[in-house]
Amino acid sequence: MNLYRDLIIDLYKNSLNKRQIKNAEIKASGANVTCGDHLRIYLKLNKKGLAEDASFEGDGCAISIASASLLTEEVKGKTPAQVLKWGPKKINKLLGTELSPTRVKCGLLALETLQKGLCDNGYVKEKSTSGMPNSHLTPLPKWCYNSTKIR
Amino acid sequence: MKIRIQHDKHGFRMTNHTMNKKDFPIFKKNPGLVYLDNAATSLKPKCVIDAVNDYFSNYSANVHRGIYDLSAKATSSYEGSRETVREFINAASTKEVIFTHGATEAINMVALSWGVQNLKSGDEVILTISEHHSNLVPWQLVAKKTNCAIRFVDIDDNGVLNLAQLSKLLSRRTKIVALPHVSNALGTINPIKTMIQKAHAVGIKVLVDAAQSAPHLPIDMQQLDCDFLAFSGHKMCGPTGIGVLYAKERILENMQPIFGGGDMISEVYTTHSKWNSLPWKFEAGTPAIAEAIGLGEAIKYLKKIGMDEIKKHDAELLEFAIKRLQKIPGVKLFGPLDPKIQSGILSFNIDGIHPHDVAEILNGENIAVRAGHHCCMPLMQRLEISATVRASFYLYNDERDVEKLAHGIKKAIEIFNFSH
Ligand SMILES: Cc1ncc(COP(=O)(O)O)c(C=O)c1O
Repeated sequence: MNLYRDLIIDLYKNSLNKRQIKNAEIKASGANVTCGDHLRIYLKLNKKGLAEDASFEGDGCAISIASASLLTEEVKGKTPAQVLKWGPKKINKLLGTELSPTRVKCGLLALETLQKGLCDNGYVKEKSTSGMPNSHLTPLPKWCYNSTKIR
Repeated sequence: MKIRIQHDKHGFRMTNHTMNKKDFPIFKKNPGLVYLDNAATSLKPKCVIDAVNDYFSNYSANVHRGIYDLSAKATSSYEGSRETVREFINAASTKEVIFTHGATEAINMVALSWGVQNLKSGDEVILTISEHHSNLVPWQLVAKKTNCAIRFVDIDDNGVLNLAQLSKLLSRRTKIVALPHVSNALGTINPIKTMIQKAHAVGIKVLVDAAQSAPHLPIDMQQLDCDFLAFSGHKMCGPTGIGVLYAKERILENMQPIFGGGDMISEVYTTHSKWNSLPWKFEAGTPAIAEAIGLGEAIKYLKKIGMDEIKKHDAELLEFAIKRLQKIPGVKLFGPLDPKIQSGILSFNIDGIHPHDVAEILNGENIAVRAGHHCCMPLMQRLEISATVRASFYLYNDERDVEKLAHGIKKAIEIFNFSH
């Protein structure tokens, strides 16, 4: 099974950026209740508005944790506008694998949580060029964000 | 039917149920399938598929209406299934057997009809903390409408109900106790007979959610004497979209229908209507005819094997699985771990590996299990876990399936390379 490549297992067991950022501008919680995944994402912006640091806490499956680890590296130096453009393609690229429909939700949890946090802080998603709303930004059900409990 | 015990070439016990795999067409295309998600839904034997097919191919007319032969045949098959269900649960009369879409609809009917009629502010509904959402949310809906309160009976860490607490909770305020016969997440078989007696002793009604027991245990309404019972056809070799609400005739007579339409009336005027007699008063519109016929066939299939035999088979397989999985370091099993009070459902977790990942790796080995909260979020919160992996057995599973599960688990541990 190539889904569980060494990279993913390694990032699951020894995740990067698994910590709090106390003075982060963006803090957001998200959950995939059906799977029992809970994440909290932190993003710190510098004076120029670029992401200076990002981190996460929480627990979940290997895919959601590895994605959170990869995402919090990838955002560094990017603008919120750039981050808001990302979708499943980006996550598949970071993970180096094509997630099956049953696992896309796991892979997207960190990204969607971060994007929700950005939107809550006034950053607006651009309309996608196709005129269709970007499917990855259709809001997760409300309850996903209510869960701030992180074990 | 008597169990013939044989051993296959690997030394695993084979029963006649094992050999009954051939009754299930899904194994023809997928002979290596290890299907261990029976608590979610069971596989379907050929006789059930054929019965459904026969209705659609040869007499797919509506019921209770036509004067013509085909409709008469459809009606007699549909009503014949009702009699088959009645006999299966030993209800006093077919008036007490209402076809629904499933256990969920059956429970909602009780809550929205009996509950709304009989509950008021200050009244209490007693549930258990191990409730499937389908025996919890309907009562929350009723609580919103009537302002009644919901109380929960707790379990111990092994998933066994706290009976002393039930006795304490029962009071003049209590109007109904609703509880699962078998927990779908942990497999615990609850002592419902005792609980029903306790409730009845103080005049309180009891609803039994039999979604996980009707497929696996003999059920006898005369012996249990509960007021309401709900189950689904699809977990007991029958089709999806069909289930049963049993209720005592006396209670049904006083319950108002919640759906109106064809079939449930005897007379209709512009100003009012008169309800049909039981059980049709609660079956508005064209019912799930093919599915009801399929359920009747499924019950005949189960009876041919024998519910006592199925119960025994589940218990033996569970015992084998408990012993087998207990040997694997890092595996934590949930539930009573005692086949006398546990049905063929085994929930577990592996240290350091998320249930979702376990299920995915098992899927790679053609093993179907469920990972998640199993529609029991309050139970997961009680156990302080977010999810489990759940293997659930039925009459076509055998020791070899369990062995493959054990190998799959070891593979997951290897992939994650945890040294326990
Ligand atoms: C204990 C229990 N109750 C009720 C249900 C609901 O059954 P259905 O979804 O078929 O209506 C289930 C099914 O998962 C169950 O396990």
